[in-house]
Amino acid sequence: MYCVKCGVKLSDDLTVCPLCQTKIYYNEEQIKAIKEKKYPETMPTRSNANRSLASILTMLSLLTISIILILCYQVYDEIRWGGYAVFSVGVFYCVFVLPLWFKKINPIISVLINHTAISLFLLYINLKTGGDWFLSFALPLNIIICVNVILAIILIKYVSKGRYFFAGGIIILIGLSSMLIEFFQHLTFDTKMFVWSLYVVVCCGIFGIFLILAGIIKPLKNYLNKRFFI
Amino acid sequence: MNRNWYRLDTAALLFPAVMNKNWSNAFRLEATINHEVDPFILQKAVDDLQVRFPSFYVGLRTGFFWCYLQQMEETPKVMSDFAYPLTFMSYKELKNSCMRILYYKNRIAVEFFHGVTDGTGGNIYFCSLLARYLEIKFDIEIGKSPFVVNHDEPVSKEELEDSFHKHTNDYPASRKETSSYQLKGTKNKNDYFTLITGIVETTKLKEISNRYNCTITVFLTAVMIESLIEIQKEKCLPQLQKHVKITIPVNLRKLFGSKTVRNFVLPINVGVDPKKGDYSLKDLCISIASQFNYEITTQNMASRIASNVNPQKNILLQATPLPIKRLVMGAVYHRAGILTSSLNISNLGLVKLPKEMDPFIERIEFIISPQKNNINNCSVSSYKNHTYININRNIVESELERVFFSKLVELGIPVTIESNRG
Repeated sequence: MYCVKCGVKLSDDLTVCPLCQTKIYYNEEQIKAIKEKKYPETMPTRSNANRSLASILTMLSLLTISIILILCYQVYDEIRWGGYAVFSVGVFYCVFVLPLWFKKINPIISVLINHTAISLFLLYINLKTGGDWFLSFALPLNIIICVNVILAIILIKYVSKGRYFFAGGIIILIGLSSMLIEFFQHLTFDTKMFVWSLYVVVCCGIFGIFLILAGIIKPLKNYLNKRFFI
Repeated sequence: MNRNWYRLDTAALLFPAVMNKNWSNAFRLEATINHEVDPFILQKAVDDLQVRFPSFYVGLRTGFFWCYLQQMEETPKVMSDFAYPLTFMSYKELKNSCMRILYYKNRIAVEFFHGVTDGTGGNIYFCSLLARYLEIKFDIEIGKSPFVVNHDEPVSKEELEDSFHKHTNDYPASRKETSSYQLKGTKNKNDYFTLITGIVETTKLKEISNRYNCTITVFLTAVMIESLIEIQKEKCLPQLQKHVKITIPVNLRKLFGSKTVRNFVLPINVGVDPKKGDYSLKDLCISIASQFNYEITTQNMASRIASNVNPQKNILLQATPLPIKRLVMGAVYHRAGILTSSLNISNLGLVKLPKEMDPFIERIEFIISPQKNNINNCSVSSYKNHTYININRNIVESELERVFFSKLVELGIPVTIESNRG
């Protein structure tokens, strides 16, 4: 059987041309005569999880936490700075060690875990220092960053069509987020409203609209694809 | 038992340093025989060759300053083949064995970690394994050939030497090179490799190559470069076009008269700059052939060897712990090795077996894995009157293969296509 597009002869076990993906149509007799595949179906078993490294790092993290706590109680009879150190180790563990336990961790779940860990750390600092900035500033800021990062992951990982629209939308959203951040900054620290965020909104807005237009105007899209392909 | 260990040869030093959890540098030789493989006899043949090829029955170990190869007591166990060639070799697997012996129906394949040997060395082991298998299976005597050695012959010192150290000079060649066009695409899921084999008649290929006054390797390289130029033209603006270069591993055994079965191969990059103007296939053949002639001389190659050997003699580098060496070597490899070429074309050449083996062996193929950052790699081997052009890729798109094989058809070379997908 020959491929009508490529002109190459195709081996008898193929159902599409491997070069141009043109489907091959066989009659019943030919189907019966189709040869067996060149390779078996068996996929290699392979674990991506780096469990030995994860166990070593877990042990090291636990050891560090234990030493810090013992030291603090020995010297001061209370936790004092040890709390910060323990939470730092906890954040490090969530960001770098936790993913090693899994074969393939969904990046969105990973981002959610990391931001929860960071929020807890900030809450601890807030309580320890007697501040009142966590609920009105740190938590909303963290949530805004988390949402933007998740949207960026969705764009890179899951969106194959309409990327320009999506990217434009995200950039406009980042601009609007900056206004929200400044609003929370104003609520917490009593600063002036909408000073720096307006610049961000304008820049992000222009760039975002440009990307959306690029999605609509095909020649512009092709030009950008050629110019900035990665 | 006091087991031998070997230092990695000069070329091999790089491979453990640059491998990661998704990529190991390996190649594969496979033969299709005229009957279903008997795994028990194959295992016996593998066991019988252990004494004759001690440098192959090794595991990769990590020392403080360098990696080394530890001879293994147990021989690797033969196993059934997988859905695609050259599946990932993990550190854990390499620790026990640096090669895999695979079988599937009437095919025997051996996959080698490149740290142990190169294509020619691997081919000597592979053909000797086939010969031993046939000897046991059919109780026949097989004569010697350049690729087949007798399993009870003694091992010579020259076979195990690191020939790079013997054939170097005091004038290391510069590593400076311009970067080359890199193909891009959508990564295959689960690190799957898609293999497309183009089978052409060697006589026809030779005839067309002769028409262009060049060898088969030069001709195929020229066609590949022409294909890459065409793809780059379609995808990039003229002012952003990069050099199109291909890495060709050069077997140094003939050049320096070495008998080693370990690595003794050096890559050279050949190519053109598409910005300078349009190239016809004839222009490309002339240019590539002259680049080959210029590069492949004992003096030039000795200088290239020197640039690899000399750093090893540096006491500071020697005393640097392995993890730091890995970082440095990884960076050098990335800059000087990967980015400077679009893909490799490795031609094993014509495999000539003793006449007693020919009736049993239908085809012999050579497959290399895509490089760390390149997405395609091409390997070529010839047996009887057929040349097998294997293009292995780790992306979904088959654009390069389509353009390349269509060009061969247009040039009047009939191509039969096989694949592990489709």
